[in-house]
Amino acid sequence: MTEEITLVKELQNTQSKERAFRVLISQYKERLYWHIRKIVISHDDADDVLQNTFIKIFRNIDKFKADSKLYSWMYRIATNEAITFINKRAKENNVDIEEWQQENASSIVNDTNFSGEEIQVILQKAIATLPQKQQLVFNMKYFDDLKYTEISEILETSVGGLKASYHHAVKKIEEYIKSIVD
Amino acid sequence: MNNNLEHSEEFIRSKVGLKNGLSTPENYFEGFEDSFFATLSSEIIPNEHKLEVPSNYFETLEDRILAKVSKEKKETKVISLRERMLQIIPTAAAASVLLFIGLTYFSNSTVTFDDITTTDIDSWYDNNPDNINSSDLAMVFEASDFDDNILLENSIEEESLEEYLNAVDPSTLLNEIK
Repeated sequence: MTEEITLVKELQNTQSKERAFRVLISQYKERLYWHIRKIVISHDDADDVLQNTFIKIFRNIDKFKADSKLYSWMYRIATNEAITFINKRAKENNVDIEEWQQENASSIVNDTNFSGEEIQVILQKAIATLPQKQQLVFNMKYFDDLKYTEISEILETSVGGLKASYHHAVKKIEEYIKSIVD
Repeated sequence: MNNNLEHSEEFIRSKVGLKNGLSTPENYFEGFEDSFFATLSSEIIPNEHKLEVPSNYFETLEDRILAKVSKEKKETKVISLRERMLQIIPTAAAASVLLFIGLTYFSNSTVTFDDITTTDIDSWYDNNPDNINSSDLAMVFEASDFDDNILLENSIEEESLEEYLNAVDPSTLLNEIK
């Protein structure tokens, strides 16, 4: 925590901003990348969104208040950027966001940056059937193993609401997989 | 409910595991900081300026400039020699007289020719038209002050010359020749 406070101070100081930002990127790039990638699916899109996320962080770091944790503030920016991105893509293709995500999940097998097996494609398709919030909660809980309190800070939702979302998400995914595999 | 959830999670884990199959290009994360700062620089200092010109602006530029130039040539104002002389002579005469008076009577004073403004000269000339005669002018100017080449160097349009000769009183010209 002390380290984070020092880093924030350095980030908000013009003299040390760039050096400190390099430290920030190296600490968070992978975590934020995977968080974004699970939302947008394609690597190229994830790369664009990650760059935009860090640019937004760089420009707004002076406005960051210590009343929330730095990582949850950054996760929130990354989440918003990724969702805005897929909404934009869906609009460009004249489809709604659910349809766009279904298409995205189906085309994952053709992605050179996908090394999974058929069951992983099924999982991606199952996740794409969920409402946006359930998708986010499932990915953050199941794959990233974040605590409910952390997810609550990032998504600004109550812990109770998150537990319910996760429960629904797991049940729907289980059913989807069973309907294909069994 | 929790047991039920754990049971479902366990089912998913057994089928899929904790991997989602997504991967990145090799060494993607290694150069990320540098590529980020390169992007940031181009965001802050765009490589190209955003100013634009209308379509076909440069293709038609020569024609538009030449058209403008030839139009201006046609509209050049011709000032007749007579008009020019009439404008210059009184001012020059008045200036010369003033200079003469200044040098003769106020040679000890610090007044110089530069101190006399054109307005002063015009005003003096307007108020004292009778004080100027050809003798005064002759006293001021030496013959060498008048160079015939001045007329040759300053090209006078034939049209202007003709206009001047038509306008001038022939008897005056005869007097000049005498």
